[in-house]
Amino acid sequence: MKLTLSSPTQLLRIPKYWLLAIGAGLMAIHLSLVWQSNLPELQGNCFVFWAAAVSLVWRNRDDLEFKSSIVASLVGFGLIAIALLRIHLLPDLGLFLRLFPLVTGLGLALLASGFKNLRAYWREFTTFVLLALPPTALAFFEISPITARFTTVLLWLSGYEVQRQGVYLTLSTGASIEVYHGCSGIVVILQVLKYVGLAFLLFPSNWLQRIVIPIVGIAIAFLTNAVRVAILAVLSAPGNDEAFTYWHDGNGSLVFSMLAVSIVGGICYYWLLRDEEPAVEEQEEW
Amino acid sequence: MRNQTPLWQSARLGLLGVLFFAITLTFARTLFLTKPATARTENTAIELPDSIPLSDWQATDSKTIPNAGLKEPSAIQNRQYRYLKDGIPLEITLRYFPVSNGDVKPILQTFTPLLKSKSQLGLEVRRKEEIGFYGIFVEQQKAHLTSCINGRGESTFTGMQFQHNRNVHDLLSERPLLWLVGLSELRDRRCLVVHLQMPLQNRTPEQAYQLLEQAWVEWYQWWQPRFQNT
Repeated sequence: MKLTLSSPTQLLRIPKYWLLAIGAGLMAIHLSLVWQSNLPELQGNCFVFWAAAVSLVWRNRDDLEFKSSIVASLVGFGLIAIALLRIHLLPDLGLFLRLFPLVTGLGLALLASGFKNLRAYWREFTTFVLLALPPTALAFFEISPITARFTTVLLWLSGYEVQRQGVYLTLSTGASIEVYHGCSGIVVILQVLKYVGLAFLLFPSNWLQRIVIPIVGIAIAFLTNAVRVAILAVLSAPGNDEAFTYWHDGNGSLVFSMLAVSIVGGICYYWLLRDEEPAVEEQEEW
Repeated sequence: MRNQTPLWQSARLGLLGVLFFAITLTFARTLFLTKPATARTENTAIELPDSIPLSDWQATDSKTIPNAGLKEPSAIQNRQYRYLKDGIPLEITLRYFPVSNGDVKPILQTFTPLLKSKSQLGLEVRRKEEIGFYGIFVEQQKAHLTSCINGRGESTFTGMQFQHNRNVHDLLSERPLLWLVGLSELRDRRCLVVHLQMPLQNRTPEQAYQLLEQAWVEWYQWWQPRFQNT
């Protein structure tokens, strides 16, 4: 790069560096707001997905065109300006926080490369779309009855006498639970699928992997959640309130989602990265 | 390219500079203003009148009741209304939740001793045209009917139904516009939980349900327009 000889004031005349600073600033604002919110799921995901987006941009840095038209620049400026104003006007930190990276990312891409080259950023946009999906996005799939049935089998296999009526499980100890919609595992499944999607965006994959990994991911998410429900059923016996709350609402409930993502992450690591190593050669890194 | 004139290049740098300046300021504000002002709708109270007319029924008395099982007993507004018809007592309890997920069953489980055991197996969710969803069950020799009156859309019983109303009715109203300029929250998550109960005495559950449903329909039609506009 010819910039090594430039003086500091000349650096300020290069849009690329302004764009870089704006992008970093937007990321800092978002992470700061998310950090203060009480959305543990979003907090964890944000760091990973921002890191992925940064790495994707960095990988393509030499192929990006930093030329934008007046209209595209004004639209991009408008998008980011609205997002910033919104923070000052009404800090309701729900949906807006989820959409912030997508909206400002689009604005930044328009400022950087105009309408014509937007396609170069599709991986980054997809990353932010995955990040924006709320945990309940798949909630219209009602899988509680299947979860209840499977949990019954798990409990029976581990030696508990268990009876099931619909989504209600009753243990011979007197403990009884209802496999509620929130416990059905659909949230864990979505979380795992988000990370699977991210892996496909970051690493090269073939059609077999694109079919098998999501299916395996769903199965693992479902299984880990069923184990969690089984533990909850055992703990729901009187006298275990504290333990039950921990595994139901507390950090314990996040452990299983983390566990599922880690297992699927391990599979992706061994299959996507190890197997594909010869084919990755034309890629720069990773 | 026609756009790449020196003038445009300077203007573009200016635009980027302004944006960066604004971003720096906003970032600084996110660091110092750690607790953002809570949205307006969250603090609003609602007026629960002393008596609400119910044709055929004679109102006998109404009072606020203690919120059992809550750390802050006054946190949830409530009022209990009693009625009488031909010697049948009817008790209607209102609980107002400014921000709710619309799931009625856990609310009942928290605030009353009901629906905790196997009796929830007998819980049935029904729907009436123009009114909406409600749950009915028999427990402790009493017939119960319970539902959540929404700001917009029909009444709901489960969180899914509530969420559906939020997505369909709130997002197609003027709220998104108000939300964009920061005047309101995107979704109206208020939920007025209604719980009607009457002793079975010598009636079959179905006969009791019919009486409850009549009262419920009238109650709903009295409340919904008032609730939507508060």
